[in-house]
Amino acid sequence: MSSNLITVASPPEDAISALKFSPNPDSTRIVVSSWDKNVYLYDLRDENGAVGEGKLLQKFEHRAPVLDVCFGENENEIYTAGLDWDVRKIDTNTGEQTVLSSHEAGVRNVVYSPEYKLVISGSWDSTLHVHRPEAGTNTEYIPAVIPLPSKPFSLSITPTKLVVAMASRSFYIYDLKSLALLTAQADGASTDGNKVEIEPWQRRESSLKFMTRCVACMPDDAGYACSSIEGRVAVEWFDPSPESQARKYAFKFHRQTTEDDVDIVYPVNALAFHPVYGTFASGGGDGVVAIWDGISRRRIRLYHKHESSVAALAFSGNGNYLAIGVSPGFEDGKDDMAEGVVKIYVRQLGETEAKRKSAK
Amino acid sequence: MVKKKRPPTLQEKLEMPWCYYCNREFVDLVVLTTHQKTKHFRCDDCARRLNTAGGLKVHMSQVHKKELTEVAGAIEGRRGLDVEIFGMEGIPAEAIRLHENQIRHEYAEMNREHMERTGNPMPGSGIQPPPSKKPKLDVTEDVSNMKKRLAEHRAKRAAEAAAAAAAAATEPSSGNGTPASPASNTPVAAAAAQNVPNALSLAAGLVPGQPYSYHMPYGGVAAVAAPVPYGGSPGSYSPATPGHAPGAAASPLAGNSLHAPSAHGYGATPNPNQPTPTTDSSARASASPLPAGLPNRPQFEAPAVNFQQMQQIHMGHPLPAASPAAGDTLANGSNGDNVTSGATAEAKVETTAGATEKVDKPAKKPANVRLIYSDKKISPEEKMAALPRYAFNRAQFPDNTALGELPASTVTGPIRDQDTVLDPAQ
Repeated sequence: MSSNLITVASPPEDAISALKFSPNPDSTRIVVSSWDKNVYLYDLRDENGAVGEGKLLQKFEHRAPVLDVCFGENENEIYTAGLDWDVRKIDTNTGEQTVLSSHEAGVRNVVYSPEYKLVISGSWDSTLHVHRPEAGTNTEYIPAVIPLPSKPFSLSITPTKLVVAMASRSFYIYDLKSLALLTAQADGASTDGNKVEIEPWQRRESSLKFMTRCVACMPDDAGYACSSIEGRVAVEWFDPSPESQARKYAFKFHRQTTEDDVDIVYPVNALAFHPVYGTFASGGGDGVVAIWDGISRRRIRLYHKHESSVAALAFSGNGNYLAIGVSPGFEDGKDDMAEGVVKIYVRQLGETEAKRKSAK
Repeated sequence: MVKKKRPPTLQEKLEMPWCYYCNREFVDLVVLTTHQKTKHFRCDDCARRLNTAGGLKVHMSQVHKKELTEVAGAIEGRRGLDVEIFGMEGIPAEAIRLHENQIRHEYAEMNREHMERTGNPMPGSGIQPPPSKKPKLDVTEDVSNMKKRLAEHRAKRAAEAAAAAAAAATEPSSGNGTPASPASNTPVAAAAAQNVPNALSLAAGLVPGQPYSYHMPYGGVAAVAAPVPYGGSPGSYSPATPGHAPGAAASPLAGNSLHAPSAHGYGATPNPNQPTPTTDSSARASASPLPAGLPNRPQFEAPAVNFQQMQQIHMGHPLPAASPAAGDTLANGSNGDNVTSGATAEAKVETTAGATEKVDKPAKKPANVRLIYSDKKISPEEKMAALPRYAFNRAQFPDNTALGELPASTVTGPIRDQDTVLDPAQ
């Protein structure tokens, strides 16, 4: 029953910042962005189509550490966000890089909405940039800038919504449709740096007491899960009705009790929802990955501890694989990053491994 | 002062109920069954406590549609569901034999250690059952009979005192030779004479070569049972209670008195100069024919503390791990707990997951929490970005666009070629 763990060959040399699976259901391609200033493109399948340790297809060098990466419209299009303030589009066939926009600080996240064909990036300059790549050829085009009350730390997208998790525990939930419309309108009148004030569909405060680390939306567009640096995960629903809001909950995990009764609490660095079953995986600073059923509030799987912190998680398009980016994380009281292994693991999930168990 | 508890004797240990699944010993059956219900027969899904493993299996299959394969928290080889255990019932004879052997072994080991340390056998060890602390008296005894014995005792007592005084005169160094002169008829002297032996009696078992125990028939029980003799003769026999022993500190053995085998009884007279009171002990024997109607004292007084604690109290330090016997129980105890916690870990997390925001309440929060990362405002990535090796100076790339500084039209297009170029400084 235990799944097969594959170690991907030639991992990045420095800490992993993000890891994404191709949205294409049958694809086994993974993009990984790293602090070593590169974006790596892997394919788990070898020439014969057998899934193995995979191979490094391409490496895209950047000027500065890359903080996030995502696939675009298809597998040959990726978007990257980096510490050099730029959001780039990379054509994986040609290796051509295009700067879509530049923030005024490092860019932490980038997401792509295939439904509205939008690239949305979030930067530590407390803005979101909304790009419409198909308009990118037009030199007149500049992205819409949406000011935020504080620095965005994590973005997650569903077919209709965008969830922005920010510092000071605030959450903004945007409706993508209105976002697309308003930013498209703003394209014409590009005044004042193309700033677009858009009211979020919902404003929320995190139900967790500590800094938000990661947010991930449910594939069925019903809600999202967010994690904090204090080893907790909260599951919330979009539906503002009291019944739905009453369903929200939080639980703690990713902590260890030492012998002298000190609870060491690790940040939950990564969350990823299974595209088919709607269960989600959490990965913490303790190197533990667990799969949870957010509806019945149960843990489905708990995997062995990895060598170092889990930096990123991603399920493949068909949900058969779970990619785990392992790299040392930043800890309190240390001037530099801890030394540690950087590895990418891919777990071949069994038929029902991440499946929600029948109601009890 | 609270009565000091003595370690359980072998017999008592053998009689203690114990858990088949984790080898733990319990004070009584009720505690054992409660333990089994919570540790071994508890349903992980709904926290329901069943009485037996079979019951739990049926519950799991009917309520949760789950198959129970092994007993949680059980030691290796005892996880099976084939034996139906309830308390001490149903334990295979083989397992009982094993457990008894282990206890015997442990006890022998402890005894040996005790011997090494103190030169004395363990209290209560040996073939005969441990003498009870209080002499057992036949309360139905005839009062005249009692009076007769009291008179006998008084006479003997006076002789003893005289002998002690004589010994004190000849042997001034003897700490035991308290001036128990014939003048012991004065209450003070009588009290002193009583106190000293009583105090020393605590250490009686430690005096090498003086292992005899002399049970005073007129201990606490006697005082209750037959108050008349005391009332009649307060002068000659001051009813000094055994516990009231200020002289103990003066005894060179006081330090060791902790180990005093209290089983020897309060009445033990340690005075080496005292003739062995054979007549008296025989009198006691005849006077207290151990009525069958009374409850079995040793069992009744089985200490509430567990064996290890007891050992600790007595030795002042925990059992050395080297002792395989004691170590064994210890390991078993903690092992059992570990296994249990391991097995219930999932359930615990599940319930945690199941709990809603209640989890956030600091109700059962451990006192010390250490966050790996605790900044309130700045994300770890920002801190990392501030590290020199990741430093990026935007000003080094003047040909790049930044919104707000340059016309928007230059965002795309012209810089395309530059992007793949590496800065040599980097």
